[in-house]
Amino acid sequence: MLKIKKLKKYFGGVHAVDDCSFEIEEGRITALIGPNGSGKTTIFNLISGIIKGDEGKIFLDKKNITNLNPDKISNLGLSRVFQQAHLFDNLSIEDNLSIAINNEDIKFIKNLLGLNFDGKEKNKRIKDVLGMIGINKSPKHICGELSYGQKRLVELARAILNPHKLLILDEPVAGVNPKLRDKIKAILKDLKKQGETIFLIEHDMNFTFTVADYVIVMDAGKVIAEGTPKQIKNNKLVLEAYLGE
Amino acid sequence: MLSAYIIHLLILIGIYLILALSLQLAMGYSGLLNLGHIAFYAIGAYISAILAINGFPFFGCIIFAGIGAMIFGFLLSIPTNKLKGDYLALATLGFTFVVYAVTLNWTSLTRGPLGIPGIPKPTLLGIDFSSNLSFLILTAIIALITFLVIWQITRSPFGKALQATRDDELAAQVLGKNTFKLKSYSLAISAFFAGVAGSLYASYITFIDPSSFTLLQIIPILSIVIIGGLASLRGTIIATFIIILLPEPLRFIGFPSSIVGPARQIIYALILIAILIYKPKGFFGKVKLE
Amino acid sequence: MKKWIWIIIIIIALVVIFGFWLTNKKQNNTKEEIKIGFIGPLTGSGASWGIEQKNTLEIIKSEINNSGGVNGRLINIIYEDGKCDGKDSATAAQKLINIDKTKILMTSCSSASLSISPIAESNNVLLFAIWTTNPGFTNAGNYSFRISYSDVDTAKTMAKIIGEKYKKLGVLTEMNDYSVGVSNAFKQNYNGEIFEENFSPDSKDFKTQLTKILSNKPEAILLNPNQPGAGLEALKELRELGFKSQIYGNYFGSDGDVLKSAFAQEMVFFADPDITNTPLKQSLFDKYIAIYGEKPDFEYAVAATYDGAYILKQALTKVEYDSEKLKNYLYTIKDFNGMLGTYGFDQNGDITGSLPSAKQIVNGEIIPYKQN
Repeated sequence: MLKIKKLKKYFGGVHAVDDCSFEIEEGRITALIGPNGSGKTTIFNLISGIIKGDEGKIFLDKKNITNLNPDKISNLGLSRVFQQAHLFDNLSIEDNLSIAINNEDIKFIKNLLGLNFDGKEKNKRIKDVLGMIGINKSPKHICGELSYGQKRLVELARAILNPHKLLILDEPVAGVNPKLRDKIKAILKDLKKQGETIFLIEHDMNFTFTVADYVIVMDAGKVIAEGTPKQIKNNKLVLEAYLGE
Repeated sequence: MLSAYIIHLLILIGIYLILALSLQLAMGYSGLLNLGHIAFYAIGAYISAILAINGFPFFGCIIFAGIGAMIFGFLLSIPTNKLKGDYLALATLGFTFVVYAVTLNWTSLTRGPLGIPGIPKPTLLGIDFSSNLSFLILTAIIALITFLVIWQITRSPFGKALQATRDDELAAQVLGKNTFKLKSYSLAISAFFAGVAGSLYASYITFIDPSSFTLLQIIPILSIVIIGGLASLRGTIIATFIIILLPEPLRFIGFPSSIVGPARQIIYALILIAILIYKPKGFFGKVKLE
Repeated sequence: MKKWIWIIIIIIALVVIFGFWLTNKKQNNTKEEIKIGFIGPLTGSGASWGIEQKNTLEIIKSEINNSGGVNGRLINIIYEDGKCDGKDSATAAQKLINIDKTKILMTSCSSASLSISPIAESNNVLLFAIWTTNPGFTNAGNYSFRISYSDVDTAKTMAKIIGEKYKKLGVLTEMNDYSVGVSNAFKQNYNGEIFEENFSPDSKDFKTQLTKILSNKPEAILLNPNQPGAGLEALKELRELGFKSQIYGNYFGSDGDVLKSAFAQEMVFFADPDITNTPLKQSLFDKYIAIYGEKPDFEYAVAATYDGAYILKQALTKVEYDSEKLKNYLYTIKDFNGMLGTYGFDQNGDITGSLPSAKQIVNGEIIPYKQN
């Protein structure tokens, strides 16, 4: 589903991503872990098109998405959840979700003539996802007034509703309480059951090892190990990388 | 008659309504701090005036005024695409100065500081709109069309996508929205209506010169947008009535003639400040000021 | 939300109620008073002379009313701030015509006069422009008159006098409606070669433009600013660049700072029409100083206001307070004796017989200039 080939990104003299290559298989949950500063978020930004790489290629479902703009990459099938909440704070929950699911909003004339609207099908989808994340606020609630945990859930819902083939999540349970963490774990497992491909960054090792099918480990811009959670737990290189932190 | 005076005020309200609604689209809904709005107003006014003086029918004058301004709106969106907040404000401010300088110096086209007097009153479909009442009806119809178009845009998914761009451009992109296209359409439509308002202004006052379009002219329009509340069309309409009508009763309060002018301006400013303190989001604003 | 709608309705109602109340109140007096509306800059950049004109009108009002008014009727002058802005002046005119029911308007500032003229015309209200030099006003309408000379007059005088001596002239013009108006008319009337450069109203430095002009080796130079300060700076720079021949100027030569400057020595300038030192002028200025504490800065504006008001008084005395009759009477005036000289109005309502004068600065004094 996702293929990174010899990706390089330099910030000044720092090799944030240094000749990185790996593949994400369809239909399973893959985790990207590593000490702080190992280049994980940079990889995510490169994949989403927010920054441009210096060398190397990225393929999404066999299409070359290297150095494309973020909106194009999203339309080719990528959905992303950020580390910090990036909700549309002045809009309601249902507006945020409707924006995600509506792909014709860029067609000006169609909208001007009132021909673009969320039909029954789209509205049902929104309702379903809202039910799945289980948020107990009215859909008309303004996002700026939600709690941190609630915002994370809405952002997850939004990413799910954005038509996609790959869902990438940057630290989905950072700073959330245990109850919410379990809820998110359940949602991710549910999504996998529905056939979704998920790629996530996490520091919470418990969470990672119980949710991921496959783990990739980075350090200093390179991949130093990959394998099942069991294999990674006992990998010497990985332990060194983390202990040396 | 009192009615003639009120008709005059309503015409001004109509013109400012078009200006304020279009600025609201760019600023309140799209998050573009566009201080170049007056430049679009000026471009529309001058295109309309020059065409009208040369015998063009009014319908052509107003359409070309809107289209001319719209083209500049679109062009302005290109270099300002990556600018945010204050920098965007500065860049668009610069555009206002550039347009002012052009109207002042391109004398062969605009007659420079002498301005363009004697702009003919409009005739449309064989009807003569020179009486104030008929001009009011014309202005009201155009204002209504402006409102309907902007209302439809803002409540459609396109409008939601604009608001998304305003709130978090990065998130909007990551959801697949081409934010450059959204912003440039918004600026272009906003400029179109400002140009239309300029054409109406030129035809009504029958005289325009560069000093009619300095940066100071944006203050009442900006006040309307902010006091009415960002991203609120209802608030914009109400605020337009307030801002235009507010100084008028002050005229009748018997100040000694020596301080009539300054006193009126000070009271006007105080009332505006009071409204902003009491209701900082504007009357109906849902969006916090950046 | 409902509360705000009520506030809006109240404000609109206020305007309407005030209007009705005033219309009714004034109707009691319209039989008695003669109402004149004045629309000029009471705030903003023109306020320095707008307020002086208002002060002058106040003096005139007391003079006329204290001696019994006009045919027994008192004069009432209502002042509105036009701000030299088109729409504010138009609003002021609408209010004066429709609410105060005035039949005579006096205006100052070209943008005000030009915006008000169509309104006056369609309402059959007399428009008397006091200081409006935009040439476009000539065609403004039958009810529109002006008492100030047009820029065209200044230019014609300049062209005649300069043209007699020099055939190669450098010109420095400010981008302002007065200076450009003068320049345009000058170019149509001058039969020599012209090298012109422009500067924008806030410029402080003119070396680039002056050097360009001088590179063409002109025989003389005409400085055509709007701000006297700019003119003085240009004078200074011109002399410092080594220009030794004749320098001409527009009205700015009459400015106090320019007169004091050594660089202005022997400059010839084209001033507002002469306001001869008659006892009439003396008494007006004495009164002004007595009431307002200082001499007015804009002598011409004050004198034009004075003359304008008294021309209207004369007209009101001869015919009634009826704008059609007043208009027709004004067209017949050919020899009015005022502070600005002896003059009348032509078929366009423009002033005739009052022309700008040529003066020269010698040793800090203004003396009449005779070309030889």
